[in-house]
Amino acid sequence: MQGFKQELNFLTHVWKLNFLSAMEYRVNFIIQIVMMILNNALYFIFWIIFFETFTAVNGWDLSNMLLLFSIVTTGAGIAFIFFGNATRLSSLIEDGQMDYYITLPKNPLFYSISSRTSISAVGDVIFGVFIFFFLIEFNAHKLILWVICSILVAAILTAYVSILGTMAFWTGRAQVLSEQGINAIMTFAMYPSSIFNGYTRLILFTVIPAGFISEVPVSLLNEPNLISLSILCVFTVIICSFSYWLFGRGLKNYESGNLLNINM
Amino acid sequence: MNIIVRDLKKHYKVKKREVGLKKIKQLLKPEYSTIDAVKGIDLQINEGEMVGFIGPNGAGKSTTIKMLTGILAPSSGDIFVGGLNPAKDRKKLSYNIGTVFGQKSQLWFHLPPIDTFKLFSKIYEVDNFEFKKQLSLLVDILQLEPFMHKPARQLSLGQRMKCEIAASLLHNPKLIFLDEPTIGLDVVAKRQIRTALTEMNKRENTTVILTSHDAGDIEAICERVVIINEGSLILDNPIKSLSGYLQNNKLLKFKTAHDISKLKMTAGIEIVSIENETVNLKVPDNNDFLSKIIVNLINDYEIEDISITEPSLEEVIHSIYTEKSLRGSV
Amino acid sequence: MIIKTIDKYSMVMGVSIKNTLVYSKEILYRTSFMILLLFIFIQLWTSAYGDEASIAGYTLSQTIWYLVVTETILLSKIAMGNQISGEVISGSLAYTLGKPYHYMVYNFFSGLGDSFIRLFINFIVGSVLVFIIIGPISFKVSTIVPIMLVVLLALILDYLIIGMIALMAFFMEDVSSLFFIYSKMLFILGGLLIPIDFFPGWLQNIATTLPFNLILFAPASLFVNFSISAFLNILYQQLFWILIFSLILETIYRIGQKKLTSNGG
Repeated sequence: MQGFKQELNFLTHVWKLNFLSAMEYRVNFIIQIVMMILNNALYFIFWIIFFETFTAVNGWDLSNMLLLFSIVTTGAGIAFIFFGNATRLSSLIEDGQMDYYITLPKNPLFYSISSRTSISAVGDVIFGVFIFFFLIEFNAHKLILWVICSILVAAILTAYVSILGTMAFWTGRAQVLSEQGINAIMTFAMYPSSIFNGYTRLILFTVIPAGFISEVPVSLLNEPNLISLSILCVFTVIICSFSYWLFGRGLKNYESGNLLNINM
Repeated sequence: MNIIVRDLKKHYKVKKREVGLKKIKQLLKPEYSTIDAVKGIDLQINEGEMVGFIGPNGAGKSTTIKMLTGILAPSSGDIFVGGLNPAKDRKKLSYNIGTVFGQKSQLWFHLPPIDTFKLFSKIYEVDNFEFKKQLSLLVDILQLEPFMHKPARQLSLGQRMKCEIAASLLHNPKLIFLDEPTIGLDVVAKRQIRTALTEMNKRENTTVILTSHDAGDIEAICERVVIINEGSLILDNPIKSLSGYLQNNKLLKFKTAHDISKLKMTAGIEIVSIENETVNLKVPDNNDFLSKIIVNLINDYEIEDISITEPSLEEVIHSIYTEKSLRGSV
Repeated sequence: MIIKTIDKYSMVMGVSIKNTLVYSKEILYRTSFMILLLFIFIQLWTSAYGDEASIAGYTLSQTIWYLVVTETILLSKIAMGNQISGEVISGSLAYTLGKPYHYMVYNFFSGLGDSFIRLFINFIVGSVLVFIIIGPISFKVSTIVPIMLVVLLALILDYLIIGMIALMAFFMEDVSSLFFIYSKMLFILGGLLIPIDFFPGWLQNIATTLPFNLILFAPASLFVNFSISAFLNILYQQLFWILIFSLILETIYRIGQKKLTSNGG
């Protein structure tokens, strides 16, 4: 426990530094945030146009879409504000930059993925929070659930992206796989999950766990129930533990020099 | 192609950098300050000459070259390149000149240079027969064969520069400009480039103009050297008469605790400076003489960290200035 | 003279095609995103249509084939914007002034070669996927030429807009936000994911007045529902905007060039 506290203390310091360095370029900081908000808003316009014509797709309507956007953008925003470097994990490993993190007396996974903040992710959070507070009817229960869901979504995304990056310990070149994986989960998550069926659903709850960050939280907020919440919590714990364990295995593999195709 | 330059001047307007509230004012009504990059150059270069422009970084050589090629318009003065005004007739001129700018690669990074060569032959509208003839000549004198079919990204710096030069010579220009072509290259590559340029000059009577901040390069390629410093032409001489400045002296630097000022001055030795036991001597560059001095020094004094260096370009320029002012006072 | 000019720029295009083929992995990588998006949209539109035969004048199959065309164009359009603005900002554009070609024309053809390869690959991949899942679309061979012409003009129009934005770098320090705004204009007002016919009336009016629909919506809607009158209508509009934007682009380029030659960028 002591170790965990120290680690958290250290990460807080890293985040502070990330924030300060982002603030060095204030205009750029603001522009990136505004662009991200605009980007999300325009995507949402597509759904407004869409639901103008169709009102509902397999039971999904605009209000579900609002919930979906508010959770996924907030969750993804939180994930990449704190762990913005996770998307570059495989590059770090491929280019041998991981060596730097290994030599430090800190957890190399936590330190490496937290050592960069995605500025546009701040725009994501602002957008998601705005949608929830101004376009969705809510009460205290719903608010608490929304906060919990957003944090769980952030944890799942961070773990998933880290798993994709960690693959580089075995494959050498995983940046493309990593980018495609992130693209896939984010794209699948931003559409009504009710449109998918059969094998696609199977994929969305296993290999590309987009269902856990879109369908499950949305249904949970629509109809609060303990079962969905427990499922979400259990999955989060599983994927986070798996991600942590996998990185440890990869690191062992790396240190024992079994790794091919690496630029030293 | 000959070049005539009369009272060439170039000044840049630079926006003043402001802070705080003035920054907003600067946005609305910018204030400028002027930088004089070239301050009145007169020059005549005849067809078939090989001329080197040397000068420290920021002396105005690149600005001058850019004006000669038409990339920059002069602030005042006249330029005639083969009778054309480069800023006005840039396109017409472009068919007759070749340019190599060290900072901007013309090669397609992912493709073999041969593809770039073919493209250039079309850009310069060279007909196929002429292109093949010229290409085989260039492949021959620059020895491109071993690597011209490999993607440019896999080539060494020297190989890439040779290809850059070949690309610029494919349309058999009457005049070629090379801006810092030897920067960062090894001795072998430099020598090959040197030979190739001399060869082209001999065969086709191509006028060659190149810049460098390394005096040694120019010395080996050019017959005539123009020294530019702070925007003015401070020397325009055949290279032979310049070699007095370039070659005659070496700098001898060493450390000693002894009082060296009593060192018996043999003819030509000059104490440049003595600081914190570090002594700088200017010694005539004559091998026997130099080694004798070193032997004497080692015998007579306890010395450490001895090194022999060429005088830097700045020092050469400095000595030219002093010489000129001395002459002026006579 | 004209033949030599054609020869010159077609060679630029040829070299660019060769250069693109070096990157074939990257093309496939980009295509994979198209597959993902088409797959999702096939599910979305299938669910949305349900039993409806036609909505806003489009059948299910037309709506999906429409997306194949818009996505193909979007992923294949000439991608020279960042390079041009980069060369303006770094000032290295100056070095090309000593070459006997027009900088903007050179870059157009250099991008077009790359663009053709992408168009071809993306369209094949998208079509195969949609063909397998949704089935064919009625298509007359005789319409190939007019549709290809409209696509080509769409690419030119897009290049002119991208070019104008890129050359704004002569006057601004950073143009990436302008590129961003343009890409969002294409996204909504260009009708990337949904045909403009689905829009509410007022938005439809805005979208059809502005030129962005001529880049994605026009070629795609013509592909799924060809008619001579629609073709001519699109053609005239495209030519009109190309003329206007060419003039503006050339003006910006000349001003920028003057700036560059008088002040070194």
